[in-house]
Amino acid sequence: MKRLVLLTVCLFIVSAVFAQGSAETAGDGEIVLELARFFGDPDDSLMDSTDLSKANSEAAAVQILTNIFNEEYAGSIRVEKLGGSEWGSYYDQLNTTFASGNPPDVAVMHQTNMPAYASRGLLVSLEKLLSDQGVDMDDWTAPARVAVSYDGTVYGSPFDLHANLLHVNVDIFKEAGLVDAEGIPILPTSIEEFYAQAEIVKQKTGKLYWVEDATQFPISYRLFHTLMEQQGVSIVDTDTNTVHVNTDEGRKALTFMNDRFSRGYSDPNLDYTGAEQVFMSGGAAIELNGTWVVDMYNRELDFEYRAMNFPALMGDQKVWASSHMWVVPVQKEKDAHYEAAATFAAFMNRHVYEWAVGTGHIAPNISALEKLSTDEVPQRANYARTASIAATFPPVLNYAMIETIIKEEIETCWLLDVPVQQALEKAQRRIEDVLR
Amino acid sequence: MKSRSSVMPVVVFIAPFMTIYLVFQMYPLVQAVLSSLFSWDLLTSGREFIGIQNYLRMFGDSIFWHSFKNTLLFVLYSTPLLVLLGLFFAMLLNHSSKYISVFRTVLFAPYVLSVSVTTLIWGFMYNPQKGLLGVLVKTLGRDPVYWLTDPSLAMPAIIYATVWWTVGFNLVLFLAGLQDIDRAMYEAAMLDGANSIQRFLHITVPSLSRTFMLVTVLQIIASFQIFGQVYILTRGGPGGTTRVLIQYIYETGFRDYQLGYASTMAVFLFVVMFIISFLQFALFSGEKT
Amino acid sequence: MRVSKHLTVVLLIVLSVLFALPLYWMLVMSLTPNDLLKLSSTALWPQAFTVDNFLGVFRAGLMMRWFINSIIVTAAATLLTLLFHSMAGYAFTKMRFWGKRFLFSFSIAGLMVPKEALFIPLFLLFSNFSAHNTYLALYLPRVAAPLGVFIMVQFFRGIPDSISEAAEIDGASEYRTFFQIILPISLPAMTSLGIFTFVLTWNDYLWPLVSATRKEMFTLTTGLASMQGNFAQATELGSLMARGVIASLPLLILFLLFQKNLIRGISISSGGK
Repeated sequence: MKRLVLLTVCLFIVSAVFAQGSAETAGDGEIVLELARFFGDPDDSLMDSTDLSKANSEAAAVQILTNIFNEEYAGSIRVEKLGGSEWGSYYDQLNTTFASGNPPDVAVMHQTNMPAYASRGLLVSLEKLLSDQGVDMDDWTAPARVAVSYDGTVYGSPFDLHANLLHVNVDIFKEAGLVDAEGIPILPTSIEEFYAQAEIVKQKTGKLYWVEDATQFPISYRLFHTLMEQQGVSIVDTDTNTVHVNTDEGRKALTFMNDRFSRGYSDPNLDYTGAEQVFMSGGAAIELNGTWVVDMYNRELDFEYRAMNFPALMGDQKVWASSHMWVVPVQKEKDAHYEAAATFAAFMNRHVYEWAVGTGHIAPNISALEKLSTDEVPQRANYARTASIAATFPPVLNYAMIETIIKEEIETCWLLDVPVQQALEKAQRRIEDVLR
Repeated sequence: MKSRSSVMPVVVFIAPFMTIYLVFQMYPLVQAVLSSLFSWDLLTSGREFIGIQNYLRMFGDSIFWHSFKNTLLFVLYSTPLLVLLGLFFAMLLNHSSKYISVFRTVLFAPYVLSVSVTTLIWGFMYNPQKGLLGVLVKTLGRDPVYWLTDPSLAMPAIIYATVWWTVGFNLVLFLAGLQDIDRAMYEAAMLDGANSIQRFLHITVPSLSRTFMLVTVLQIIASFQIFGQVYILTRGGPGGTTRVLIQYIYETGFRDYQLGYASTMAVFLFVVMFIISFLQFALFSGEKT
Repeated sequence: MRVSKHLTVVLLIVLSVLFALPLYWMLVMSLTPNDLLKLSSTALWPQAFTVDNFLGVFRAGLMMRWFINSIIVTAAATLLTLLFHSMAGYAFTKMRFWGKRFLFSFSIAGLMVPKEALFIPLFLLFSNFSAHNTYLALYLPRVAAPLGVFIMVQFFRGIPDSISEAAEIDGASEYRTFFQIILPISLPAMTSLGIFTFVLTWNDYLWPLVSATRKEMFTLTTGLASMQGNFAQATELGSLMARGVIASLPLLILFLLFQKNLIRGISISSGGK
């Protein structure tokens, strides 16, 4: 039994040693940056790649860019990814790192989520740090500038603008006779046209007109946001701190969204991969999804594929959009590497062209946008207009909660047969509670 | 009767456990009660004493009640299934003697898997396009069934996966209980001409009552703490129909930064568990007399 | 009787197939090339055989690191539980001291505390000492659950007092009595408790999820969970299933080796036997 005691003691020692070993112990003055991000991990074969031509997804592109950075700055800075790769719990885990006093040195954030951290003084102002790195902030597009600013201060290095697009199966549109003289699909410009087209597709091809993830990720919420903005209403008005969900516009938007399912033009039970699978196997004319799948679809689909701007269904042509950016958290307990972190953030902003090409996202830099249009990257011209019709969520401090509430309440209409009015009232009340 | 042990050994024997127990089990419990009286921001650790406001908020929070209801539903559906199937499997195993260990191994094996392996397997089992169950439905010539995204199926799907994962635990408990029953009682009953149903009702059921109670209570306590399966498989969806209490506590604390309110709901869960445990003791002590 | 016996065996075979099928399917997918799985993942025999998925796990990623983490955390929790809980259990049954009844009841009361609801105060506690992302943080809270004390008390109660008394009459100290006489005869109970603790710790999810935020400090359970439900399911199905197989194998092997002990542990823990 002495062995048991001995073994326990040994384990203590081993675990202490290991725990130390995992801390920053790079030799030769190399700074190790902890990076927190979502986007997922690519295949094992790409984990160490620096070949940008293999960047065929968000996961691959961001990993390869990071690898290139590590190669370029070998000996002085090394970036190591922190935490899980899962999208859905990214902020939960990031919050945990802040609360435990060990925030990452650099992190990716959405435009909508940054204010919660900036307002608490948890992010480093980047204006000076980035210009020291030679970042030309005048090259940023106006929406990008808005996205990374909170209360007049720049807290992020813009990485992209991403938005909803319609991913179109051109073959089905042709079969249904819904194309113009050049064979380009004609998208509906009103609810009436939407239903007319949907009926034609149903009659002539037997396929679904439209699919989207209506159950898992907040894709439907983004459609709701889009339709509200098209009617000139924001879900939350930050100037007056009021909620505009339970309104005529909200009713119109949600009634339409719900009717698509009840009339059988779309499938209310699809999750993210489900919608993707139906579209990829040719089962639907349109998939509502983001810019991030453009290159994957362009490469893998065996029918004619076209990425298109979201059309004006309810007035102005507007579409949900958000931004990814790199932020530098304030360090309290460990050595701050703000400069090195800013070097990485600046590096990523210098490579927004490669990120846009590798994913389908819209570049936040004017120079990169120009280069993208002259280089004729596939599909990009088809949704060039999206950048100018992008409608982002106003800066609120509890975005994550608000998004969940809307997603969950509007879903109840098609999943649980809750009347539209009741869902709107409940969402309105819950968001008001959050803002209070 | 021996005299008291000397002080030093007693301290040495008890202190290691007691220290860890006090620091990591009892102190957190007290801390939870205390923090439930504060508005406590996770990110900045800013806190403000607000009395029982968190409790008032909790009682008026429809999502809290909804999550609690989902938890209760899970408990109400999963407990009888897991208990009765555990008993049923144990009785089957108690019957045949030759290959008993092979069958027991297979039926118990899923219990040793971690929750993320369980969800990995079942997440794909339930996939309408890629999963085994999806194909089964297709071969039967039906429309695809959305196990995890149809509100009427999501909770049953989670319950089913849970049964597969954990029924082995109950099986083992029942098996131990069954094997304790004196063979002679059955033999005597058979001589008296009792048929198998009578033997089950008059010998098995009374002899197993204690095990049965015990399994039920353990199962209720375990079921109340459901989190991993739901969080990984459905994240509370579709439409919030599978969000359970632990998940809501986690979300409130770590997504919405409200540690005080999250602690309040944890305290609520403590109280519920205490009541259940108390009932357990009451029932058990009542039975002994 | 004959008929019902046959019926039972048939039922058991059907049930066993149903229970084994999901595990078997995971194994099949892990041995199938990723490209083929894109077309169809529902074959019950590998359409083409490959071990690449497994090799990939060893080549890249942190799977091995998580594996080591899980081993360290689980082993530490198990050993500490065995040592501390058997000592406390011994004191509660065989030693006489003031306040024993109270201390024992106080310890056992902890059984009623739902472990999963303690994670917020525990998180704050470790935050105060900047002790997250350490092995210590991962295993110490697990040692606090008093189940082991309860199990050991149940067991020690069955050992006649005369054994330890005889040792003491021979002049052995309490420590010697415990470590050299009592522990050796407690081996069956200790093994059961050990295996039981091992399984529970290995499968911990919520606490490691909250406490270990650095990827290098994930356990197999949280690491594997972090690979599921990605927006763009970047990890290929075959590779993912190979990781699932690797995560389950140690436990399945351990279970096959110590099946009897684990089962005994479960029945003692419930106070049933």
